[in-house]
Amino acid sequence: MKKIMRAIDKALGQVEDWTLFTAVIVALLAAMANIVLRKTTDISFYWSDEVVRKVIFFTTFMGASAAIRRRSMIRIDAVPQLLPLLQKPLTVISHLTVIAFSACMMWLGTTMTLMVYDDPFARTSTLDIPEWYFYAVLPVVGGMMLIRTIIQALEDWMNFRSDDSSSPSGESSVADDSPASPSVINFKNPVQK
Amino acid sequence: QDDPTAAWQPSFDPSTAEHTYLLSNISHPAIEGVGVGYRIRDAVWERSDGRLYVDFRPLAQLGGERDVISKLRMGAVHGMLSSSVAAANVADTLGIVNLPYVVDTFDKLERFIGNEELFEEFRQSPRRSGIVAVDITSYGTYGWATNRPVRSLEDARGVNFRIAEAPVNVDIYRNWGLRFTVMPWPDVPQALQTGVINGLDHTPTVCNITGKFDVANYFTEVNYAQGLFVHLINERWLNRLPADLREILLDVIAEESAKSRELAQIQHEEQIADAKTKGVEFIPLSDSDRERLIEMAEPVYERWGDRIGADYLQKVRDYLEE
Amino acid sequence: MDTSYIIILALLLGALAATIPVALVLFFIGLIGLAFFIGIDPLIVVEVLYRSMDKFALIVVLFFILCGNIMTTGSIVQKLIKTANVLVGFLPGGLAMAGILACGFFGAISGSTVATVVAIGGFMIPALIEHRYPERFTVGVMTTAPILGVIIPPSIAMILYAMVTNVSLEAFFLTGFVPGFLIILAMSIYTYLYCRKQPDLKVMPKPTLGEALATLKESFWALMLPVIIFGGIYSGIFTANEAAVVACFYAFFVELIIHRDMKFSQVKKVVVSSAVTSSTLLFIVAGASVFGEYLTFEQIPNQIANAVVSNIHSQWIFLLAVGIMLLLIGMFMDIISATIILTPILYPMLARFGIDPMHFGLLMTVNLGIGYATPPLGVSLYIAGTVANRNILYVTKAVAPFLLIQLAVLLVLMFWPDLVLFLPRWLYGYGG
Ligand code: NA
Ligand code: NA
Repeated sequence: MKKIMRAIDKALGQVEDWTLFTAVIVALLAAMANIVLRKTTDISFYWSDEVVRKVIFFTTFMGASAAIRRRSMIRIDAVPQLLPLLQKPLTVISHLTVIAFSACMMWLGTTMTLMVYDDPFARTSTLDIPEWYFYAVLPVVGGMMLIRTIIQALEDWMNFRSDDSSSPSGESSVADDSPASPSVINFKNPVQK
Repeated sequence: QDDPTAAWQPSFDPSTAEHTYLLSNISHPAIEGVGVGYRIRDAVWERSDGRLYVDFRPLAQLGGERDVISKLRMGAVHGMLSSSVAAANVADTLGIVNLPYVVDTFDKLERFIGNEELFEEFRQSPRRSGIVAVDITSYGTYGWATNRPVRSLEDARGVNFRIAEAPVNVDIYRNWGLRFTVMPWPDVPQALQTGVINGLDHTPTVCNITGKFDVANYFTEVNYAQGLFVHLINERWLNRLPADLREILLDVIAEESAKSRELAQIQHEEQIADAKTKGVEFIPLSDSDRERLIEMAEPVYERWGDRIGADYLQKVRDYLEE
Repeated sequence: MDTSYIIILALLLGALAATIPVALVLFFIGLIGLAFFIGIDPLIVVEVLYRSMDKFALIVVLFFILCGNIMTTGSIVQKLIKTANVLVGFLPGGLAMAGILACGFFGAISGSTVATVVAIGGFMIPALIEHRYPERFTVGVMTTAPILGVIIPPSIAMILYAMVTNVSLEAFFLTGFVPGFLIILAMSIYTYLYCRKQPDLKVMPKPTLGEALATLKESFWALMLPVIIFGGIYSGIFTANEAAVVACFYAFFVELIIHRDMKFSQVKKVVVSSAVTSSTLLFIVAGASVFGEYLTFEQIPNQIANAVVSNIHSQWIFLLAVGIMLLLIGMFMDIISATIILTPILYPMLARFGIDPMHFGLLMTVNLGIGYATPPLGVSLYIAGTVANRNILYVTKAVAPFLLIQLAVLLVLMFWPDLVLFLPRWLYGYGG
């Protein structure tokens, strides 16, 4: 059981990390090429704007799944700080909310994707790509979040951590503008290099 | 700076209405083709004895155009004065008005709308998406606002134009062999000011009202297309409206849209005159350059003819060229 | 007030207190409002989630976070601190002033406060204590000076404000320099007066011209970063949004090739962790958009505006009332959520009180920025607390004098709009 969970966790982590990395680098290169070519040549990288926008959309939702793994979703945890007794029940509520969100994304997202799939005119505004590709990201990410959250809920209850989920604390919080999220409060040494 | 929506509060209390028609537009109500929303609201209220309230929300209050088109499909928004550029995303046929030198003058627009057969095909084209196109309003004729004089096609080659974000516009500019940038509208003022772009593909009315002429002091009258808002309505919502109210709404839209197109032409001329007093130079494009633009756009007519229906496109072009 | 609004408000506060992720709280309340109270097809939330992220302006959030992470991973940050130290380190309290100035330098590159607390505070707090600065003073100054991260442009909060209101981002950025300078000045004066009376302080020797030049030379590439960002924006090479992209390229280039203080093998990790951090912020923006959709359909912003306008008649009372409200909200909410949720409500009122939207945007940024260091939910307090190994009560007492200074500056800015608007008018021809 633990083994299977670890394997799933790791596989999802790889998908998240590599797609995020690729997407960000593609956006960075496309936007930079547009700036440079616009001033120096007659070439119009007219589609770079669209690439950047789709990357922002993609990284936000794929990153949200990764943020669950790293437990760096931004939340306000004043209450359990003041009343540690409430920690456990609130964690359960919180997990249930994420599961409900995942379900929403899978259900509403799939419905919407199918609707857009049926519409031949729903294409992106410059590259003319079918728009349902992008809508489909939402139910997929919803599924990933669901698996992640179930693994985490199990971790919390069985009190074990799979290796991959304990990324170095604070790693994702280096430039985090978040309020008192657990990841921010708990990380021990923010200057660790 | 006054709040542009404040002066446009209804003079009646809409809370007693039996039905509400939520109508969206992205632009500024000072433009006649947009302000028509308020006149539709008032006329419908009066003629329906306060039973139907047209809740008009201009200035992108309900979101960007692609966003509102989706809300229109699902019925969260009931109607939309959609720019013809965005409307092409609802049905290819609606994009016919965006092709260069097809519906390029106020007169041709009237003739197109006046032709029962041709316009009906246009109106019915988005029904597949559960939407009908009922009418059209205008915001002027497209040309190039630039910060250096563009007197010929050769001059235009040195300009980096900002164009609207739509496949047909990209296609047109590529075939014209001009430099262009696709950029969101809110970024335009800064980009124009700092020189990231030095030309703008738009109408004199919009350029003057939104202050673009403060920076770009030249306007080349390319006159290749009319800037239009296509009035789209969610068909399911329309069918659920009581028959008498439906008739009132559609009648008022037709009457007010026709009036607003006349007003738009007057506004187009007034705004040009006003811009001239501020020192903006208006430059006509020579007939030979115009011919070259049409020639170079040949692949555009072909490619979009396939999507719109080559027969239909040819019929419209022939009829309007008569 | 309609009962449904009270239900919504209670749900909002209750769910936030229950540690449910902020983005999901906003999402679900928006969904409930739209689907149950208004009766709109729930599919609309999918559309809103998609379109809210389909915006070019958000590029800056991702790329300025990435830029900050590159600089922290490499050595640009240390070099900025070194430079600040050479400039003011020899004065009484000089090392603390250098810390404030370094926050200013770093602020001119990074868009966020937390990045600044971590990057500068992490180095400076141990250094100051080592030089026998009183610990409480040290924690206080290094917890509050990072507000410069959001005030001195580029600033994520200012970018979001400009995105919601459509004010020119290039011009709006210019409003941040004078207030940023005033905060540096006011905090430095206090530091000078405080440290003069501290006999134990180790004062740094005055650097020779040669040493100063050597440091400047070493920091040359780091110091060029803000020059490139602002030079590029204001000379028309790229837009303020695109500046983030150029900054990342430059930072990568300097750290990987010039300084060689970052390895190519670190690139992926830095990029991925930046993407996740950016996502946690933008996910809130997406959730807030669903909530905002509900507010828009209900026309709640207009209703609140009408209520405020019919009860308040003076510009000054309006600014003060909103200022106090933002301070209270800032205690409980982060600057991103607060900006995204409150701007559409407050913005329509500005014209009626004759308040310039850029002036107001800057006040809002400073006001909410102060919230980083206010209990109970000031992130900076917690971070500084962990660095100094002190509890929240201790840190709260430590920041008090500095918060008072910043509030005083805020009051000056509130009643003297010219201070804020002078640069955009002068350099950008802004007409407001
Ligand atoms: Na900054
Ligand atoms: Na706070």
